[in-house]
Order: sequence, then structure tokens, then C-alpha cells
Amino acid sequence: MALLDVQGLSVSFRTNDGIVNAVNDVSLSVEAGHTLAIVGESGSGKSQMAFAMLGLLARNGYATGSVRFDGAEILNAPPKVMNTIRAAQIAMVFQDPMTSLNPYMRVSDQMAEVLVHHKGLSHADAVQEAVRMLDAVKIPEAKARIRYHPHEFSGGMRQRVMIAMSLLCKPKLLIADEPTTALDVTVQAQIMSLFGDLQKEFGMAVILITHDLGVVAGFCEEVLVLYGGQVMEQGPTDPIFYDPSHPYTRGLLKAIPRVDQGDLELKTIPGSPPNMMMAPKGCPFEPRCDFSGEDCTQALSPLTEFAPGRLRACNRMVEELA
Amino acid sequence: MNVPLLKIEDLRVSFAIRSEGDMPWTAPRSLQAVGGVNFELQQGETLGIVGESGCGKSTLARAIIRMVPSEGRVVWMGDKDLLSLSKPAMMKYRSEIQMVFQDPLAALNPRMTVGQIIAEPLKTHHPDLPAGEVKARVKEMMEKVSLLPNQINRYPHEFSGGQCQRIGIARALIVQPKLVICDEPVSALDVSIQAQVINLLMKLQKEMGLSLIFIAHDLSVVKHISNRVMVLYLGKVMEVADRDTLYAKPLHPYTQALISAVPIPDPKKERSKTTILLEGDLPSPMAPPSGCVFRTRCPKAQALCAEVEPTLEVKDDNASHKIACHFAGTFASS
Amino acid sequence: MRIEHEKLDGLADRMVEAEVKGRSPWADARKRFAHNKAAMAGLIVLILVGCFAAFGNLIAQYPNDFTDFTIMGRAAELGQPSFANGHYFGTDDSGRDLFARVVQGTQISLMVGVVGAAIAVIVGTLYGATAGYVGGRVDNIMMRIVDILMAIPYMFVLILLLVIFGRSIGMLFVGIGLLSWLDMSRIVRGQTLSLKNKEFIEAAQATGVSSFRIILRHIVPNLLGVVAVYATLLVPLMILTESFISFLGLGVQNPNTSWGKLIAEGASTMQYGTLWQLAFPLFFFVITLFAFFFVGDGLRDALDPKDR
Repeated sequence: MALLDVQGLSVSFRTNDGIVNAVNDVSLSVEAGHTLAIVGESGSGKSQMAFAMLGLLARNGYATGSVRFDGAEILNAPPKVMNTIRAAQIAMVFQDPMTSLNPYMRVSDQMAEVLVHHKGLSHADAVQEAVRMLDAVKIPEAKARIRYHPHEFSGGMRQRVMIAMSLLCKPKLLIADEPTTALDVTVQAQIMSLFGDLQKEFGMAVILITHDLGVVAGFCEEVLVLYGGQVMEQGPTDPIFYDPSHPYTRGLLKAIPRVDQGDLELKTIPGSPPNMMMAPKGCPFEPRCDFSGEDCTQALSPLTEFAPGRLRACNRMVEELA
Repeated sequence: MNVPLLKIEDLRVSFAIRSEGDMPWTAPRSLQAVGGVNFELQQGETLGIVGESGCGKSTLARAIIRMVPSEGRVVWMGDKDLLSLSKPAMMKYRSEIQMVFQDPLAALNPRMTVGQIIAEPLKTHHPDLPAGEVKARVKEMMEKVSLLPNQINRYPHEFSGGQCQRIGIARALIVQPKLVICDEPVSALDVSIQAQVINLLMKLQKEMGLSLIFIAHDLSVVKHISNRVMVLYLGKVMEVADRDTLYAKPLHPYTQALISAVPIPDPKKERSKTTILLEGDLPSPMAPPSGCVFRTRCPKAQALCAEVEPTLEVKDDNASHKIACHFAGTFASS
Repeated sequence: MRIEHEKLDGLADRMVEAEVKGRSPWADARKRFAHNKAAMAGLIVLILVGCFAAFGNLIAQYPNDFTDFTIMGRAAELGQPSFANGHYFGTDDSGRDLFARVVQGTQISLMVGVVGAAIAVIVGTLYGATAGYVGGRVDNIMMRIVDILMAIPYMFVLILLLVIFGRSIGMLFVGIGLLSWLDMSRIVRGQTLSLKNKEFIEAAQATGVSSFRIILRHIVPNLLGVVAVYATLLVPLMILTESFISFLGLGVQNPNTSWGKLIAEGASTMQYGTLWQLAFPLFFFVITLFAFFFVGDGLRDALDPKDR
């Protein structure tokens, strides 16, 4: 049985301009100890999807479908249940660590609080455990630095603190939402290698939400490509990169400049990502797609398995995409 | 070689930093943001400046157009030192050097229409131009950056990020500058939009014969657009070379680490490559390390590095490849 | 690429197409404001009160300084509100028509509020924007001046001014105007400081736009939202200040009057059974203040939708 099993998850928001569907009918599953990437641009709904799974949607948002964690349904579970699950079973790391750290509390107190509350440790034991965790995320002089306030750490260090904090209760699943977007490349490399080490050490599953295909390539086993709230393509990493089956994935891979290649002309995808306030009726990628036709404006073909383990949603056959 | 469009000689920028609670008469501490940068830029050339946040790359750009006070010389077309010009004399050169900013929406005044925004530099430098002529030129410029000219009366919030950046580019180009400084022009944009803007910049550069200074932290973008690349760390130049040399054969340990850290969207390559992980954080620019500024994080640092600051010099047979490292070339690049 | 071609082909046609009209941030705000029921109700009340002040005298049967000696002293029995004798709101203790006096009081009070707020907006905005934009030593000196002025207990100064230079409406305007802009300039300076670091200001500086034009074209228009909100909240404050001064007996002079003065007079005769003398001015006073507060709230929501 998969650790996390999501079926037909949809997320919508009630706004002044009507109902906005941010995520439509996404299904995925993550086995214990595995890694999945959710790739998408701004407005693709990738973050909202994670928020919905964890019951963190804004007040005007609601989710339908099913999210099973360890066999138990957790979508729309009461806040009390979600609180214990969020702390102990599923942890989340955000793009900006400052939003989830209290600037007025010492890191030691913030970290100890989690353990005291969820594991019933004494404060002194909790702090000791917290120091051990800071060591694990390779913060030098963890014993002294744990007394710092969050703003005394640099961006990269703060993200490490955040990761240490999310690992305190040894979660089975870690959801990282753009964990390195705000960081420099060298720091990004540090953090991503840290994620790899920790994942092996603690044997947890990781869902990495990002827009950066490079980071995905090195870290994840499976990829789910979101565009305009719809899954475009889903499957194991290698074939998606070497043999993308969807016009969007193809375009995206040709549009990113690479350090490992010489002068290749960048192929552009014309137009802009859809405004979800006025989401198109058919395929969200239709206005920007080279292969779109009349049928694409009407309906998006359902996600179908076209090769073992690989799914795509496109009205054209793979062979037609020349 | 002909006269370079721009020649920067020993450019230094320091900021006076007052900590909170200082009395008005306490002398402020000084922070050196850019410490003695030299480079030349030829007409039609693109110089990429890369470095991590806090390396002084944006400050350097602002020093060239005198948005921050600086020392040194900024020689324009071989004869005028921009830093020594009076304010009115500088005005002429402000239309020759234009800038494109990072955050496309924040760089546009939300209360002005697109037409007003693009026309502003034109009205500033050619106040006598009749309104009809201004409008015609704005429309022509909008067309050049692939915006629909009939959108001239719209406001920035009605455009997407990529379109806003096009507006920013149109504003920079309307006075027909010789040099455009792009400060992280694509880093705030979506992946699928970045390529559009990069291609647009390259197309316009060719059409208008522009020189570009392209500042970015993304090494792959810089590689794509630049002819030459300069690597900055803590306000100092670590390495400068033509694009292909720098990426194929980086000699400075920092450049090597930087390039190795860039993720490649190719699973097999990405998994098999060795990444040089740098230890620790950027040192505080208030108290830079002695000797070589990079030595605190350098995997190859030795005793000499703490004592003597390396100068930027040619280390191999390529005369345009300069490195600021005592031991450059003595160890293999990754 | 297909799309790109279409775009190029269509470009010629589109060149001749009519220019699309933009939706300015102000238009958006107007729309949001119109959807806010409380604020719209407030606005309507304000318009009605304004009409009352402007055209009330046309309906009044008596001038505001006409004393009806038959009623004087017997207001409780004879001065009740009545349509028969033309005293719609009744009379005051001296037998003057309360309707006419409330009309006149409304004119004075609204004028004090609006003029006070207007001075605050003009002086405060320019002063604050200049201090914030120029920065450095100039900012320091300009803001210390504001600090010093703020440190003076202003009610005390206002009372002194009125006592020394005599009680006149002009003096009242001077006094209120002198003080009202201080808070505004502080708010505007704070906003300017955060605006100053925005990239569009930097872009203007980079092309060489003069400081004066940057303040006028880039800073002030972006401040207007905050200023408009604060100004609508300032008007009732000014009215309150004036009312307080008049309540103390230092405000406008007979035969002129204001809400504060009318309320003071009404309150002093409460126990003699002439409650209408208090009720009418108080009613106008209260609904106007409420209306201003609702409009202010509505403006804030309309101009800054992210805050909700």
C-alpha cells in the first residue's frame, strides 16, 4: 500500500469573481521512501495542491477527492487530527523559512516546543534532541547557534533550521515547496545534497514542489507536470526528460538554457500561463500549443496511460507531435 | 582593437553603515560593496556578470550610471570619465545607458499607462518632441518588443509578468541607447517566459547594435546570452574570460564550484556529476577575510591565501582569460 | 510557432484597430467602492448632509439670527418643532429658529472639517513626500520640526490662539490647519520611504528624470490612496476638535454657530424639557461622523484590496 494515495483531488476557491478551480482532478501516489516532483509554473496550482493535502488552504478554498495517508483518509479531516498528522507524520518546508519561524522566539525554544508538545519530552531533553537535529542538517556549532533568533541565521542556514525543525518528529513524508528557490546556486546544491542524505538516513518519502527542472532531474524518481491546474504528464523521471510525451513538457525542456550545452537556440513557448480567474474550458495549454486544434478548445482528453507507468493528457497522439 | 564603448578602471563602491542606536556623531562603519573592478566592453558585445546574492553585482551596475556614489573611472568611448561629469553634463549620457530591472511589475509605476511609462525617457531627454511624434515612437517601440500597440492606454497590472518585462525593455530602448544594463531581467519570470525575453533581448541587440551588461545569478542564462563572463565574489572579480573558455575550463575554484552547482535538466548527467559543495556562508562584507576574499570557503585554500591578495592576471595561454587566484591552474578543474 | 506567425500577420490589422482603453487602478477602486454597501450608504448620507447645508436656507422660514420675542423664555411650551409656525426643528431658548441655526452650524462644521483636511492633504503630502524622498539630513531636520510641533499640546495652543487673537472663524481655521498636517506628513513620509526603494522610482532616476518630477509623477500619485483614506478620517476629527472648542465656548461667535455650539446650548437646557434643542444638532453630528468613518473604511478597502 502506498504511503500517500491521492485520488481525484480538486481544489477551488470562492472569490468575488466567482469560483476559481486551482487544481483539477489530480491523482498520485507516493511509496514510503520514494521521491516525487510536482513541476509547474506560477499559477499551475502546485502549492495549493500541497496545502489542500495538509488542510492548510485559505479560508475561501475547499478541496474534493480523496487523500489517504497510511490508509487513513485525511482530506478535510478536522483541524485537531490534521495538527497531529502535520507535526508527526507529514512535515512541510516552505520557500521562505521566515514565514514559518517565529522571529521573536529563540530557535531552541521553537524546536523544543514541538517535541514537548508532541512527544512529551522534558524541555531539557527536547533541546538536546533539537541540537542533535541541527547537527544532522550540518549547522556548525549547533550547540551555540540553537540559542539564536531566526534572523541571526543566513538564508541558507535558516532553511536548514527549517528542515531540522520539520524532521524533529521523524516524519514519514516531507513536502518541500520550492525549498531552494530563494537561495543561491551553491547553497541550493548544499540543501539538495542535504535532502538526499537525510532522505536516506530517515527513510522518508519526499514530495518536491518546484519549477526548476534541473533540481528535479537530480533528485526525484517520479515527476508530475502541472499546468493551469491540470496534470499534463506524469511518470518516471528519465522518460519524461529524454522522451517527453506532452507538447508542454517538450516546449519547457527546449526553453531552458543549459550550462552543459553550447549555442542552442532557445525555443520559446509563445504567450503566457493562463490566468486562473478565467481558466479556459478545454486544455489550459491550448492557446500556447503548436499542435492544438478546434477540439482542444472544447475539452481536454483525460489522463491516460500510454506506456507502462506513464500518463499523459493530450488530444494528439504522441506520434503526431513532430 | 578599437576604442571600447565602456572602460571601467578600479571602480570602488563603499557604503557608510550606521547600526541602530548609534549617536549622530559616531563615525559610521564602511562596507565595501565593490572593491576595485576593471573591465572593458566593446560595442555590440554582451558581458555577463554572475555571482551570488551579496556579491555586489547590482551595486556595480548602479555605480556605472551613478546611482550610487563611487570612486575610480568609468570611461565612455575612450574619452569621457562619467564619474567626473557634472550633473547636467551627465544627462546626455543617461540616454546612452539604460537599465532593465528584475521585478517586471515593480519597475512600472502602477498609476501610469503603458504609453506614459514608455514615453517617459523620451520626454525627459527630448522635451520638445511633439505629442504625436512621441506616441508614434512609443507605438513603434511596442511593436518591436511584440506588444500590441493598441494596448497603449492599459495599465501595468493588466499585463502578465513577461509582458511587463517587455514594457520595461521598450522603455529602456526608446531613447536608442548604446548600452543596456540588465539587472536580473529574467529571474522573476516563469521558465517558459524566460526564453521569450532572452530571445527578444538578443534579437533587439542585433537589430540596434546594442552592448549589454547582463547581470544574473543563473549561470545557464548568462552562458546563453553573453560573449564574455565575469565572476564576482564579495565585490571582487574572481575570474573573467570569454564565455566558452569560462564554462569549459574554469580555473578559479569559486567558478568551478559555481558551475558544478548548477542543476542540469538531464537526469543521468545530473545524478552522475560531482558537485563541489562549498562550506559555510558568505562572509560579512563588513569584515571581509584577509588576503583572498574567497579563502574561507575555498576547498584549495592554503596559508598564502590568507596573507596575500591575489591579483587578476592571465594564468594560461589565453590572454583574455584572467583569474584572481594564487594557485589557478595548479589543480585540475572538475 | 504557428501562433507567432498569426501574430505577425495580424499585426498590420491590429495597428489600425482602436486603442484599447485601460482599466486604471482608480477605476478598479471605484468599482470595489460601489460594491461596498456601508460605504455607499455613508456617501449618500454625506451628500444629503451637504445638500442640507447648501440649500437648507431656501426652506428655512426664518433667518438664523431672527429672534422671536414671543417665544423667548418660553421655549419649552411655544418653541416645539412644528410645521404650523415654520419652526421645523423648533426654536432655541432665545426664540431663534433651530432649523436655520442647524443649517448654519452644518455649514460651519463641514467647512472646518473640509478645510482642515484639505490643508492637511496639501501641506502634509508635499512636506512628507519631500522629506521622505530627499532623505538624509533634510529629512532629519524636517521631521524633527514636526516632532517639535507635535510635542506642543495643541488644544492648549489652539485655546491660547483664540483667546489672544480673538474668537473668529478665520483664527479657528488657522489653528486647526496649523496642526492637522503633522500626522499626515508623518504618514506620507513613511509611505514615501517604502515607495522610494521601488524599482520604478529607480528606473526614473536612471533615465535622469528630475527629483521634482519624480515626486509629482511617481510618488504623489501612488500616495493618494493612503492620503484619501486618511483625509476622510481626518474630516470628522477636525469637526470633533471644532465642536470641542465650541463646546468650551471658545469657537465661533454669535450669531454664527456650529454643531458643537448648538450641542452645548442644547445640553445646557436639557432638564427644562427642550430635548429637541439637543437632538437635532446631535443627530446631524452623529450621522455625519458615522458616514465619514464608513466612507473612510470603504475607501481603504477599495484602494488596498490586499489588506482584507
